[in-house]
Amino acid sequence: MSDTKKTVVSRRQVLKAAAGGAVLVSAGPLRQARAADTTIRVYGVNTSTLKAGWDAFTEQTGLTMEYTETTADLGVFIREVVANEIGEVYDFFIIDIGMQRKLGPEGYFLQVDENHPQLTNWKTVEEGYKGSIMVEEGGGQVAYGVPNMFNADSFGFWPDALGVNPQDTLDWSYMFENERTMGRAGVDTSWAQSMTHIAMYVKATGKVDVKDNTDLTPEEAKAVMDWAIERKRAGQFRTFFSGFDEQVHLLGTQEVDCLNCWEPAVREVNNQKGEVVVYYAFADFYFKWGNAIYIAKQAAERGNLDNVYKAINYFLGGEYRAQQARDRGYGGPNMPLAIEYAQANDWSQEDVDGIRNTSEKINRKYESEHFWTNPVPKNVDVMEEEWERFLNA
Amino acid sequence: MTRGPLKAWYAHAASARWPVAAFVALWFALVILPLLLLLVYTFLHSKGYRVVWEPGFTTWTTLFESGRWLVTVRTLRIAFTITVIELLIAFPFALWLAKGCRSPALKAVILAALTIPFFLDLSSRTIVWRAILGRQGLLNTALIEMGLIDAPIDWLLFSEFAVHFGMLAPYFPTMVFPIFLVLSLVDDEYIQASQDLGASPLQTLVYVILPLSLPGIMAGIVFTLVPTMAEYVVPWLMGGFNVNMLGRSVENALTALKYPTAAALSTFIIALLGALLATLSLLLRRTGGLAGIFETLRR
Repeated sequence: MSDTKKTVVSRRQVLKAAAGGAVLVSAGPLRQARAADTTIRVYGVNTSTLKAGWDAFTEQTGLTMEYTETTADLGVFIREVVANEIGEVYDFFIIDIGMQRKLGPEGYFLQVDENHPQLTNWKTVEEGYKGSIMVEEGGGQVAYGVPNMFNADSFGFWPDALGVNPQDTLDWSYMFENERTMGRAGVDTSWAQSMTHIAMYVKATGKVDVKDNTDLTPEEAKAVMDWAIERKRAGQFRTFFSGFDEQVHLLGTQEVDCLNCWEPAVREVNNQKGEVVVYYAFADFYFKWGNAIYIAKQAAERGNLDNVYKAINYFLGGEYRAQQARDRGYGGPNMPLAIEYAQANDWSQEDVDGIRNTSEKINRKYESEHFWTNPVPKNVDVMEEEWERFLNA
Repeated sequence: MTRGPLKAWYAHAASARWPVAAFVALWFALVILPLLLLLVYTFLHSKGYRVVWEPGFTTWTTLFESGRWLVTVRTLRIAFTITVIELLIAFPFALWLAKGCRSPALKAVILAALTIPFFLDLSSRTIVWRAILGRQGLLNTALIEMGLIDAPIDWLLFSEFAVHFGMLAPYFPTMVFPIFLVLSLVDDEYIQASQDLGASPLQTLVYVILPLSLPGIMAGIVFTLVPTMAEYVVPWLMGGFNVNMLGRSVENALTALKYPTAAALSTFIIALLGALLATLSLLLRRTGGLAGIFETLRR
């Protein structure tokens, strides 16, 4: 691992050398300019943007937001941060929690300064969100991320097609081996998402002996995918999808009856067609995930950390939290601030209740059996290869 | 620069050897060198989002043991099928457009219509078919309304049929245009002479028109076959990734930063194409080889 890192550094050095003395000459003034710059540049997942825009952010902080949206493609993110060193441009990143286990100790993220004077909302973060999920590999003490948005995924459903009530509590067999959903289930084409879902299902039902469904050994990955291939050949899956828009399309047109999609997709379909689909409560397990804010190591050299922490503090504030709960159904590490904000700013009772429901919904889900997403499994190569075997079957 | 010196420079350059050498050097740097680097990459492997700089055959053995190499074979099979179907439809159409259509206005309209696909994003054009071929799409609804079927036909979408169907329209112009251009250059007197000598329409087609149009056919095959092999949008939107092709498989590998796997998949398909080209060259040896096909353009 260290060899590769050296190679990457070497490549960057070559590129910098090739750029000539201009870079060296301009580096000093550029850094001074960035220190005085009130623009915050963020590279993060598209669901962490505010649907209402960033005007309120500017009003509250006096800073300007430049948000570059990316998908949750982990490989792309690692490539951009490690090989392309986008920390030279961006102040912080927003990506799946767990990423710090790899990139934190390797020096790409700064350790969070919990006592920074601009990070006043840190004290409102619930303890459960500060601990083990934000630290490096092996459960160290160094926190590399600020927890941002959280939810627990299940799947969206057309209750009529399945003959169930929207209030029912289901289990994951509907996605993977139920006669009512034969040929009517849609599966995310991402191995990081769907392979871990299937692995958890076969683990929970005792079909395959799996230790960690998010990091499968070669033998486990093969056994899990052998089972999945049998289901595929039996005709369980109608299609494989990619991205938010396709989730809305497939579920909205009832091209499939169930889909292991994101909750906002169900919300979007219901916005368009009335309350026709349901994001179900589950008896067996949830796919528990969150994203975090990671400060680029280069931010320390630019001297604009005060502004960076001021911006992060906004993400931890009631306004951001309330808007994300209302617009996307996502929770966070300090939901009482969201309710306080909505009440103080005369939001409708319906919106306030909606935020409260979102908070309670996530708490309820987290009490159920679940597993955490894992963006950096040690056996990523084997898992990707086995997932490809499944897709080819 | 005046016309005189430009002409003199051109005459000098045409007789000199350096332009050819410069072109070969550029071609080597831009085409061959990247391919060689691609080949070198296949002998590395990746682990935990990292490329491991230890040469070996791990990537190749994994490619075959996991059955991933089948993606390249499937991709080639679908690309060839599409190319053959396009050729069978495009050749008569191009022949009619070049020699049968007597109205210049109609010809201009058709040629303009053929360029329309190039102005619209492929995904925008393809997604429309979902509303037609889906379970609740226009076709299934119409068939059910007419009482011809009881339940929606599933294989109209997210199937290999759908992938083939979805590729037909986007790659029709790439086959038609080169054939049309070459057929437009064929002197009508050749065709007239063939008929005057007593040849039937079929004989004129087989022994006169077809050989003269081979450069266009070859160009059409290349312009259709190559992009269909790299097609990503149609297998996704029409096949729902049930039909796994090279583009998606490479993308999947890249999500885990498996550059050696992506390189091996690409190298393998280049090798398969190379083998096919070598076979074609051997078969055409008697008729002057591949280069001989383009001799007809000199006439």
